[in-house]
Amino acid sequence: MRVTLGSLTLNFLRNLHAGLERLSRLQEQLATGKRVHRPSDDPPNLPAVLVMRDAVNAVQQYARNLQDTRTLLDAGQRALQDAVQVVHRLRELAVQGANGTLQASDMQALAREVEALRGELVALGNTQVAGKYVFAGTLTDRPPFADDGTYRGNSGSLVREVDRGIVLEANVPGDVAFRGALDASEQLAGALQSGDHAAVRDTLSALDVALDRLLSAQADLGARASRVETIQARMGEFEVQLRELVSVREDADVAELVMQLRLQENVYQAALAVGARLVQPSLVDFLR
Amino acid sequence: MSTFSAIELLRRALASHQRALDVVGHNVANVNTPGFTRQEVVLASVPPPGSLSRFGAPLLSGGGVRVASLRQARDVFLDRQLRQARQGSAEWRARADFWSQVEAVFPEPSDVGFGELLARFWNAWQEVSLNPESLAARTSLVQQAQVLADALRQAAQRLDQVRRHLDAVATGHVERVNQIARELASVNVQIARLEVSGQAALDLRDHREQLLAELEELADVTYSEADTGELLVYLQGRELVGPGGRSTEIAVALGPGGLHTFTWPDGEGLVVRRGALSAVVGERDTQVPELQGRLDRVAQSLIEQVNDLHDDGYDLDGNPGGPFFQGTDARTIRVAFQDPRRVAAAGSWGGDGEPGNGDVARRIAQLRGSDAIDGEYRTLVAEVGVRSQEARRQVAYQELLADQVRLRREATSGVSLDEEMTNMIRFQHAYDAAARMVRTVDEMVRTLLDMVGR
Repeated sequence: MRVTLGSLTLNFLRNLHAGLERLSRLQEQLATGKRVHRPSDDPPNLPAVLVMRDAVNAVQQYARNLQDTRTLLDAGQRALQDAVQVVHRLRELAVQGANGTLQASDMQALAREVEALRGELVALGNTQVAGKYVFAGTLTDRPPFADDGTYRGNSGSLVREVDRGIVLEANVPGDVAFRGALDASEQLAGALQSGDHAAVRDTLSALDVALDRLLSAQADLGARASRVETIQARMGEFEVQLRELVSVREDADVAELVMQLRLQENVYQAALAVGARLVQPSLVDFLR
Repeated sequence: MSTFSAIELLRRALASHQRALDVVGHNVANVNTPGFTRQEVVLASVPPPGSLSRFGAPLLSGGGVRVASLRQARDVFLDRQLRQARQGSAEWRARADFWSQVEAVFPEPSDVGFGELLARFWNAWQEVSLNPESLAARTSLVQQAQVLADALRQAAQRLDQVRRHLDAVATGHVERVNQIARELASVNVQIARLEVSGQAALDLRDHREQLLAELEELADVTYSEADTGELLVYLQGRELVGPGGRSTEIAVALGPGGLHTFTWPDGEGLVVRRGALSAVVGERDTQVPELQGRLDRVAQSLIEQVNDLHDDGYDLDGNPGGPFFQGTDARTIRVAFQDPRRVAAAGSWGGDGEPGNGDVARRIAQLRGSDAIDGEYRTLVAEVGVRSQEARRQVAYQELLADQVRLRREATSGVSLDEEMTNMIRFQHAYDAAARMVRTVDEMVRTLLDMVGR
């Protein structure tokens, strides 16, 4: 094959360009730490990468949803626990009040304490988390219980998605949980004020029912809270795994890239050196 | 043979080698001229005068040398291969260029791509479902939705820009085709005029070859060479360059939608099947509208599915939801309102209202990952990636192919300086020797004259 200056330069330039292009790709990957910069960098992998990136986003959101749900559930549980204590105290007072030997003035004193406890129940029913009334159903922007104990909330549920397709209610409507306790305490206060021992004794069963309601609501919230906890743990693990998967598909292997970069740099420099020597001498140089 | 005929013989030898040296000079001067084909003189010996007579008088020696012809070191087959390879590589370069522009419209995977914005949009709905009474969450949702709608509109606009760019390129290509056709016609005339007078139109043919190669890069022309040496070029079965300096002009006119139309003089549309022009026109008329259609489908599904659910909801003031997005496609999508209170997050609004009800927001957030929105977009991006990668790979392959043919053509037709220098020395020595002989003959004549003069 006849080799001419033209073919030498053509070959030389082509190799030089190819080397430069490889170098620039490697540098881009190294500088950004990512293997994939545009859809064409790895088309077979791209749909998976996009799905996983969205999944990471979604998982982070679910983690937030879980945290938010848990905050509400915990607040509700604490309030109900306190309410249970209050009802226990009410029951003690009722047992005292049912004692026939008690003076009217003592009954009045008990009645005042019952009133105070009743106020405490109302306050517990009006528990807020970050400005949200947790026992108001979906009417979360105003206190669900008036001072006289009437319920102004509704029976709506605060439903959250805590994982793909899994929804949980983050509340129990206050009317269900507190109604019995509020009514029984009102009944008890009335009976104490009128000094009616028998009527006071009658409230004991109402208080027991109220206690049951509170306890079952608390257990309900507790069960949901533990479910949330389980999902949270799983979600944390899942996020780590997802990030790992995204990283495997998307991130550059720096060690390998550095090696390749070295190699390409050497190849490029060699190409330059060869080019410089190659094109210089011709017969012209010897015709002196 | 007379003494003076020897001088005539040597004059021819000097002239022939002078001519040969001229050709060497021409080759050396054109060592870097693209498309130049190395030329060489063909030397032939001159038969002795009168050697044709049958009854040979005294034995005659030969008549010296002459330049029989000037020829090009051309391989027509290689030239054709090179033109085809250049056509393939020009066509795929146009494709690769287009797809890399499209890729810029869909920057994935990244934190600024539509995929990420969509994910943030769904997350914003989740946030509203957690705290439907919070104006902050609602405001953030409305803003995120606006960013998403902006991104869709921007992508649609960018595709429009790409289309206008393609139109400008296609118009430029067609105008270049017309220009080349005119030039070819005029070169044809010159070649025919020269060759009919028996001269070799070598450099003009080189020029014509270059024009033809450039034309083939643009379109799938066919051609044939007439007896006169004129090159007749056809496109789409029609005469583009005819004999006698005739060429056909393809009309360029502004058509509907601001795009140009290309028509033959009789009104039939230009159809090109190969070459850069065919790639550009195909992208302009088929690929871009298809991409726009798919982007529109994503936008339509987003608008319809979100609006459907939103319409059933109630806003923070208990009013029924109505549409969340306005518009019908990627070009027109907008968020229907600015007021965050109007986000219909609640699934019902009984009695005194339900500000804490985020059922509809949750249901909208659960649209995430649907085939018609997220899925359709991912398929679109994946296809862009596949097409772009394919185009890039083809460019690399076609360029390699073209380079190999170029090398082979260079091996046949290229100028080698070493070779030319060798020839130069060869011809120079011959010239020197002939000149030396002239002196010898001169001395011989002088010797004779001296004898007479004594």
